[in-house]
Amino acid sequence: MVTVYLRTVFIYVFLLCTMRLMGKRQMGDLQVSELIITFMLSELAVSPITDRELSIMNALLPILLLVSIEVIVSFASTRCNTLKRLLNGSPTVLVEKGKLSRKALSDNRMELDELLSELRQKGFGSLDEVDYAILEENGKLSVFPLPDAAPVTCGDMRLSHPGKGIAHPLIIDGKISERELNGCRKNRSWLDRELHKRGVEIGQVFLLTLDDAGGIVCLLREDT
Amino acid sequence: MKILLLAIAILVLVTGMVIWESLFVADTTASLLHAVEQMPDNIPTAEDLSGKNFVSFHHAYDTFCKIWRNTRWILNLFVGNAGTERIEGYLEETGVRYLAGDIPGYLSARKKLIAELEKLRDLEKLSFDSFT
Repeated sequence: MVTVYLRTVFIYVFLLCTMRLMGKRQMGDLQVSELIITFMLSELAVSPITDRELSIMNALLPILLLVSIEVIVSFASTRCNTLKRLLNGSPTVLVEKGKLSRKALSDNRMELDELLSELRQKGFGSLDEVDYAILEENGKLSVFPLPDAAPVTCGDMRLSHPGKGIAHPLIIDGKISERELNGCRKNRSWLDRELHKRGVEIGQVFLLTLDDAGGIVCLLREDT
Repeated sequence: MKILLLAIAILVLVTGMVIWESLFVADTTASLLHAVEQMPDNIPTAEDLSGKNFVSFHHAYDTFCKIWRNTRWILNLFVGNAGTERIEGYLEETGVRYLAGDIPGYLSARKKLIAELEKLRDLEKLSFDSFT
Protein backbone atom coordinates (compact mmCIF):
# COMPACT_ATOMS: atom_id res chain seq x y z
CA MET A 1 0.00 0.00 0.00
CA VAL A 2 2.95 2.28 0.68
CA THR A 3 4.04 1.83 -2.94
CA VAL A 4 0.59 2.81 -4.20
CA TYR A 5 0.60 5.84 -1.90
CA LEU A 6 4.02 7.02 -3.02
CA ARG A 7 3.30 6.39 -6.68
CA THR A 8 0.03 8.33 -6.47
CA VAL A 9 1.70 11.37 -4.94
CA PHE A 10 4.65 11.22 -7.30
CA ILE A 11 2.52 10.84 -10.41
CA TYR A 12 0.18 13.62 -9.27
CA VAL A 13 3.09 16.05 -8.84
CA PHE A 14 4.61 14.84 -12.09
CA LEU A 15 1.35 15.39 -13.99
CA LEU A 16 0.96 18.86 -12.48
CA CYS A 17 4.37 19.83 -13.83
CA THR A 18 3.76 18.33 -17.26
CA MET A 19 0.32 19.93 -17.59
CA ARG A 20 1.85 23.29 -16.72
CA LEU A 21 4.37 22.69 -19.44
CA MET A 22 1.55 22.21 -21.92
CA GLY A 23 0.06 25.55 -21.02
CA LYS A 24 -3.30 27.10 -20.17
CA ARG A 25 -5.13 25.79 -23.22
CA GLN A 26 -5.31 22.35 -21.67
CA MET A 27 -7.42 23.82 -18.89
CA GLY A 28 -9.78 25.70 -21.16
CA ASP A 29 -10.97 24.96 -24.67
CA LEU A 30 -9.40 21.83 -26.03
CA GLN A 31 -8.38 21.14 -29.58
CA VAL A 32 -8.61 17.60 -30.92
CA SER A 33 -4.96 16.74 -30.32
CA GLU A 34 -5.10 18.23 -26.85
CA LEU A 35 -8.20 16.20 -26.00
CA ILE A 36 -6.48 13.02 -27.13
CA ILE A 37 -3.41 13.85 -25.08
CA THR A 38 -5.54 14.52 -21.99
CA PHE A 39 -7.31 11.16 -22.27
CA MET A 40 -4.07 9.29 -22.86
CA LEU A 41 -2.32 11.01 -19.99
CA SER A 42 -5.04 10.05 -17.55
CA GLU A 43 -4.89 6.40 -18.63
CA LEU A 44 -1.10 6.29 -18.50
CA ALA A 45 -0.94 7.95 -15.13
CA VAL A 46 -3.37 5.54 -13.49
CA SER A 47 -1.82 2.26 -14.74
CA PRO A 48 1.18 2.06 -12.40
CA ILE A 49 -0.93 3.22 -9.46
CA THR A 50 -3.40 0.38 -9.83
CA ASP A 51 -0.91 -2.22 -11.08
CA ARG A 52 2.06 -2.50 -8.77
CA GLU A 53 3.81 -4.97 -11.05
CA LEU A 54 4.23 -2.27 -13.67
CA SER A 55 7.33 -0.19 -13.46
CA ILE A 56 6.68 3.50 -12.79
CA MET A 57 8.77 4.29 -15.84
CA ASN A 58 5.96 2.72 -17.86
CA ALA A 59 3.98 5.86 -17.04
CA LEU A 60 6.67 8.52 -16.79
CA LEU A 61 8.38 7.92 -20.12
CA PRO A 62 5.19 7.82 -22.22
CA ILE A 63 3.83 10.89 -20.41
CA LEU A 64 7.02 12.84 -21.09
CA LEU A 65 7.01 11.63 -24.67
CA LEU A 66 3.38 12.66 -25.24
CA VAL A 67 3.82 16.06 -23.67
CA SER A 68 6.96 16.86 -25.64
CA ILE A 69 5.33 15.72 -28.90
CA GLU A 70 2.25 17.80 -28.16
CA VAL A 71 4.28 20.94 -27.45
CA ILE A 72 6.34 20.46 -30.60
CA VAL A 73 3.29 19.75 -32.76
CA SER A 74 1.31 22.68 -31.37
CA PHE A 75 4.28 24.98 -31.91
CA ALA A 76 4.66 23.69 -35.48
CA SER A 77 0.96 24.22 -36.14
CA THR A 78 1.26 27.89 -35.15
CA ARG A 79 3.92 28.22 -37.84
CA CYS A 80 2.18 26.17 -40.52
CA ASN A 81 -1.46 26.81 -41.39
CA THR A 82 -1.76 23.60 -43.37
CA LEU A 83 -0.69 21.55 -40.39
CA LYS A 84 -3.02 23.50 -38.16
CA ARG A 85 -5.97 22.83 -40.45
CA LEU A 86 -4.99 19.18 -40.70
CA LEU A 87 -4.84 18.71 -36.93
CA ASN A 88 -7.64 20.93 -35.71
CA GLY A 89 -9.84 21.61 -38.67
CA SER A 90 -11.18 25.07 -39.27
CA PRO A 91 -14.22 27.03 -38.11
CA THR A 92 -17.40 26.50 -40.10
CA VAL A 93 -19.88 29.26 -40.78
CA LEU A 94 -23.36 27.85 -40.17
CA VAL A 95 -25.24 31.12 -40.47
CA GLU A 96 -23.90 33.89 -42.67
CA LYS A 97 -25.57 37.31 -42.80
CA GLY A 98 -28.72 35.77 -41.38
CA LYS A 99 -28.82 32.94 -43.92
CA LEU A 100 -28.54 29.34 -42.71
CA SER A 101 -26.22 27.01 -44.62
CA ARG A 102 -27.76 23.52 -44.73
CA LYS A 103 -24.65 22.10 -46.37
CA ALA A 104 -22.48 23.36 -43.52
CA LEU A 105 -24.90 21.79 -41.03
CA SER A 106 -24.88 18.39 -42.73
CA ASP A 107 -21.09 18.47 -43.28
CA ASN A 108 -20.71 18.82 -39.51
CA ARG A 109 -23.42 16.24 -38.80
CA MET A 110 -25.38 18.81 -36.89
CA GLU A 111 -29.16 18.71 -36.72
CA LEU A 112 -31.22 21.85 -36.94
CA ASP A 113 -32.68 21.09 -33.49
CA GLU A 114 -29.19 21.06 -32.09
CA LEU A 115 -28.38 24.42 -33.62
CA LEU A 116 -31.59 25.96 -32.29
CA SER A 117 -30.83 24.53 -28.85
CA GLU A 118 -27.35 26.07 -28.90
CA LEU A 119 -28.80 29.41 -29.98
CA ARG A 120 -31.34 29.33 -27.17
CA GLN A 121 -28.57 28.65 -24.68
CA LYS A 122 -26.83 31.74 -25.99
CA GLY A 123 -29.98 33.79 -25.47
CA PHE A 124 -31.30 33.80 -29.03
CA GLY A 125 -34.93 32.72 -29.30
CA SER A 126 -35.05 32.69 -33.08
CA LEU A 127 -32.81 32.26 -36.12
CA ASP A 128 -33.87 35.63 -37.50
CA GLU A 129 -31.97 37.36 -34.66
CA VAL A 130 -28.69 35.84 -35.78
CA ASP A 131 -26.24 37.52 -38.11
CA TYR A 132 -23.43 34.96 -37.89
CA ALA A 133 -23.19 31.60 -36.20
CA ILE A 134 -19.80 29.94 -36.39
CA LEU A 135 -18.96 26.43 -35.26
CA GLU A 136 -15.46 26.74 -33.84
CA GLU A 137 -12.69 24.13 -34.02
CA ASN A 138 -13.32 23.02 -30.46
CA GLY A 139 -17.01 22.41 -31.13
CA LYS A 140 -18.30 25.55 -29.46
CA LEU A 141 -20.74 27.83 -31.22
CA SER A 142 -20.01 31.54 -31.56
CA VAL A 143 -23.08 33.65 -32.29
CA PHE A 144 -23.26 37.28 -33.40
CA PRO A 145 -26.63 39.02 -33.42
CA LEU A 146 -28.13 41.11 -36.16
CA PRO A 147 -27.88 44.83 -35.37
CA ASP A 148 -31.63 44.99 -34.70
CA ALA A 149 -31.36 42.22 -32.12
CA ALA A 150 -28.13 43.38 -30.50
CA PRO A 151 -28.23 44.96 -27.03
CA VAL A 152 -27.92 48.72 -27.01
CA THR A 153 -24.47 50.03 -26.17
CA CYS A 154 -23.24 53.41 -24.98
CA GLY A 155 -21.86 53.95 -28.46
CA ASP A 156 -25.35 53.51 -29.99
CA MET A 157 -26.72 56.14 -27.60
CA ARG A 158 -23.71 58.34 -28.21
CA LEU A 159 -22.97 58.34 -24.55
CA SER A 160 -19.49 58.35 -23.17
CA HIS A 161 -18.85 56.13 -20.23
CA PRO A 162 -15.40 55.88 -18.73
CA GLY A 163 -15.99 52.32 -17.67
CA LYS A 164 -14.83 50.74 -14.49
CA GLY A 165 -12.40 48.31 -16.05
CA ILE A 166 -11.76 45.32 -13.87
CA ALA A 167 -11.63 45.09 -10.11
CA HIS A 168 -8.13 44.39 -8.83
CA PRO A 169 -8.12 42.44 -5.56
CA LEU A 170 -5.68 44.25 -3.27
CA ILE A 171 -6.55 42.42 -0.06
CA ILE A 172 -7.82 38.86 0.02
CA ASP A 173 -8.73 37.31 3.34
CA GLY A 174 -6.61 39.70 5.33
CA LYS A 175 -3.53 39.38 3.11
CA ILE A 176 -2.23 42.11 0.83
CA SER A 177 -1.45 41.25 -2.77
CA GLU A 178 1.72 43.20 -3.44
CA ARG A 179 1.62 42.29 -7.08
CA GLU A 180 -1.85 43.77 -7.58
CA LEU A 181 -0.94 46.79 -5.49
CA ASN A 182 2.09 47.49 -7.68
CA GLY A 183 0.03 46.77 -10.77
CA CYS A 184 -2.43 49.49 -9.74
CA ARG A 185 0.50 51.85 -9.08
CA LYS A 186 -0.46 52.24 -5.44
CA ASN A 187 1.61 51.75 -2.36
CA ARG A 188 1.18 50.56 1.18
CA SER A 189 0.72 54.02 2.66
CA TRP A 190 -2.14 54.74 0.24
CA LEU A 191 -3.76 51.47 1.28
CA ASP A 192 -3.35 52.26 4.96
CA ARG A 193 -4.98 55.65 4.43
CA GLU A 194 -7.96 54.09 2.66
CA LEU A 195 -8.38 51.53 5.40
CA HIS A 196 -8.11 54.24 8.03
CA LYS A 197 -10.86 56.23 6.29
CA ARG A 198 -13.10 53.20 6.63
CA GLY A 199 -12.03 52.55 10.19
CA VAL A 200 -10.79 49.04 9.56
CA GLU A 201 -7.51 47.18 9.76
CA ILE A 202 -6.00 44.82 7.23
CA GLY A 203 -6.77 41.76 9.30
CA GLN A 204 -10.50 42.62 9.33
CA VAL A 205 -10.83 42.79 5.57
CA PHE A 206 -12.15 39.80 3.63
CA LEU A 207 -11.91 41.44 0.22
CA LEU A 208 -10.82 44.88 -0.94
CA THR A 209 -10.83 45.69 -4.63
CA LEU A 210 -9.87 48.74 -6.63
CA ASP A 211 -11.25 49.21 -10.14
CA ASP A 212 -9.71 51.22 -12.97
CA ALA A 213 -12.05 54.15 -12.25
CA GLY A 214 -10.75 54.35 -8.70
CA GLY A 215 -13.79 52.78 -7.08
CA ILE A 216 -13.08 50.77 -3.93
CA VAL A 217 -15.19 47.89 -2.66
CA CYS A 218 -14.41 46.67 0.83
CA LEU A 219 -15.97 43.55 2.36
CA LEU A 220 -15.26 42.73 5.97
CA ARG A 221 -14.81 39.32 7.52
CA GLU A 222 -17.89 37.85 9.15
CA ASP A 223 -16.19 37.52 12.52
CA THR A 224 -15.36 41.26 12.57
CA MET B 1 10.46 29.37 -27.45
CA LYS B 2 12.00 28.13 -24.19
CA ILE B 3 9.14 25.67 -23.76
CA LEU B 4 9.67 24.40 -27.32
CA LEU B 5 13.37 23.86 -26.73
CA LEU B 6 12.59 22.12 -23.47
CA ALA B 7 10.07 19.89 -25.27
CA ILE B 8 12.62 19.00 -27.94
CA ALA B 9 15.21 18.27 -25.27
CA ILE B 10 12.75 16.02 -23.41
CA LEU B 11 11.86 14.21 -26.63
CA VAL B 12 15.50 13.58 -27.47
CA LEU B 13 16.22 12.51 -23.90
CA VAL B 14 13.29 10.09 -23.73
CA THR B 15 14.10 8.60 -27.14
CA GLY B 16 17.73 8.20 -26.15
CA MET B 17 16.77 6.65 -22.83
CA VAL B 18 14.48 4.12 -24.48
CA ILE B 19 17.12 3.09 -27.01
CA TRP B 20 19.76 2.86 -24.30
CA GLU B 21 17.43 0.80 -22.09
CA SER B 22 16.69 -1.61 -24.94
CA LEU B 23 20.40 -2.10 -25.61
CA PHE B 24 21.15 -2.41 -21.90
CA VAL B 25 18.53 -5.09 -21.35
CA ALA B 26 19.70 -6.97 -24.44
CA ASP B 27 23.29 -6.86 -23.27
CA THR B 28 22.47 -7.78 -19.65
CA THR B 29 20.18 -10.68 -20.55
CA ALA B 30 22.79 -11.98 -23.01
CA SER B 31 25.39 -11.98 -20.23
CA LEU B 32 22.98 -13.62 -17.77
CA LEU B 33 21.96 -16.27 -20.30
CA HIS B 34 25.59 -17.01 -21.02
CA ALA B 35 26.18 -17.48 -17.30
CA VAL B 36 23.21 -19.86 -17.03
CA GLU B 37 24.41 -21.83 -20.05
CA GLN B 38 27.72 -22.39 -18.23
CA MET B 39 25.86 -24.27 -15.51
CA PRO B 40 26.32 -28.03 -15.87
CA ASP B 41 23.63 -30.16 -17.47
CA ASN B 42 23.62 -32.62 -14.63
CA ILE B 43 24.39 -32.96 -10.95
CA PRO B 44 27.45 -34.95 -9.84
CA THR B 45 26.86 -38.32 -8.26
CA ALA B 46 28.46 -39.47 -5.03
CA GLU B 47 31.17 -41.29 -7.01
CA ASP B 48 32.30 -38.14 -8.73
CA LEU B 49 35.06 -36.87 -6.52
CA SER B 50 36.74 -34.49 -8.97
CA GLY B 51 34.49 -31.61 -7.99
CA LYS B 52 34.66 -30.20 -11.52
CA ASN B 53 30.91 -30.18 -11.89
CA PHE B 54 30.44 -28.31 -8.63
CA VAL B 55 33.17 -25.81 -9.46
CA SER B 56 31.62 -25.20 -12.83
CA PHE B 57 28.21 -24.64 -11.26
CA HIS B 58 29.59 -22.41 -8.55
CA HIS B 59 31.48 -20.30 -11.06
CA ALA B 60 28.42 -19.87 -13.28
CA TYR B 61 26.18 -19.09 -10.31
CA ASP B 62 28.66 -16.59 -8.94
CA THR B 63 29.01 -14.87 -12.34
CA PHE B 64 25.26 -14.62 -12.60
CA CYS B 65 24.97 -13.08 -9.13
CA LYS B 66 27.69 -10.53 -9.82
CA ILE B 67 26.01 -9.34 -13.02
CA TRP B 68 22.64 -9.38 -11.30
CA ARG B 69 23.79 -7.33 -8.32
CA ASN B 70 24.99 -4.56 -10.60
CA THR B 71 22.04 -4.49 -12.95
CA ARG B 72 19.01 -5.42 -10.86
CA TRP B 73 18.07 -1.89 -9.84
CA ILE B 74 18.12 -0.63 -13.42
CA LEU B 75 16.04 -3.58 -14.59
CA ASN B 76 13.60 -2.90 -11.73
CA LEU B 77 13.30 0.71 -12.80
CA PHE B 78 12.55 0.03 -16.42
CA VAL B 79 10.92 -3.37 -16.42
CA GLY B 80 9.25 -3.56 -13.04
CA ASN B 81 10.02 -5.78 -10.08
CA ALA B 82 7.65 -8.62 -10.98
CA GLY B 83 9.98 -9.96 -13.66
CA THR B 84 13.13 -9.48 -11.62
CA GLU B 85 11.60 -11.21 -8.61
CA ARG B 86 10.71 -14.22 -10.75
CA ILE B 87 14.26 -14.41 -12.08
CA GLU B 88 15.65 -14.27 -8.57
CA GLY B 89 13.21 -16.94 -7.50
CA TYR B 90 14.20 -19.31 -10.31
CA LEU B 91 17.89 -18.68 -9.69
CA GLU B 92 17.49 -19.51 -6.04
CA GLU B 93 15.52 -22.63 -6.90
CA THR B 94 18.24 -23.70 -9.33
CA GLY B 95 20.83 -23.43 -6.58
CA VAL B 96 18.71 -25.20 -4.00
CA ARG B 97 17.81 -28.08 -6.33
CA TYR B 98 21.42 -28.49 -7.39
CA LEU B 99 22.66 -28.70 -3.84
CA ALA B 100 19.83 -31.06 -2.93
CA GLY B 101 20.80 -33.38 -5.78
CA ASP B 102 17.34 -33.07 -7.36
CA ILE B 103 18.22 -33.47 -11.04
CA PRO B 104 14.72 -33.04 -12.56
CA GLY B 105 14.02 -30.08 -10.23
CA TYR B 106 17.36 -28.48 -11.05
CA LEU B 107 16.89 -28.85 -14.80
CA SER B 108 13.32 -27.57 -14.60
CA ALA B 109 14.35 -24.54 -12.54
CA ARG B 110 17.20 -23.81 -14.91
CA LYS B 111 14.86 -24.07 -17.90
CA LYS B 112 12.41 -21.65 -16.25
CA LEU B 113 15.23 -19.25 -15.52
CA ILE B 114 16.34 -19.32 -19.16
CA ALA B 115 12.73 -18.83 -20.33
CA GLU B 116 12.26 -15.85 -18.01
CA LEU B 117 15.48 -14.22 -19.18
CA GLU B 118 14.54 -14.75 -22.81
CA LYS B 119 11.10 -13.29 -22.12
CA LEU B 120 12.72 -10.22 -20.59
CA ARG B 121 15.07 -9.88 -23.52
CA ASP B 122 12.27 -10.22 -26.10
CA LEU B 123 10.03 -7.76 -24.25
CA GLU B 124 12.54 -4.95 -24.55
CA LYS B 125 13.75 -5.80 -28.02
CA LEU B 126 13.16 -3.27 -30.78
CA SER B 127 11.37 -5.50 -33.26
CA PHE B 128 8.19 -5.71 -35.27
CA ASP B 129 7.02 -8.71 -33.24
CA SER B 130 7.32 -6.91 -29.93
CA PHE B 131 5.58 -3.87 -31.46
CA THR B 132 2.59 -5.92 -32.57
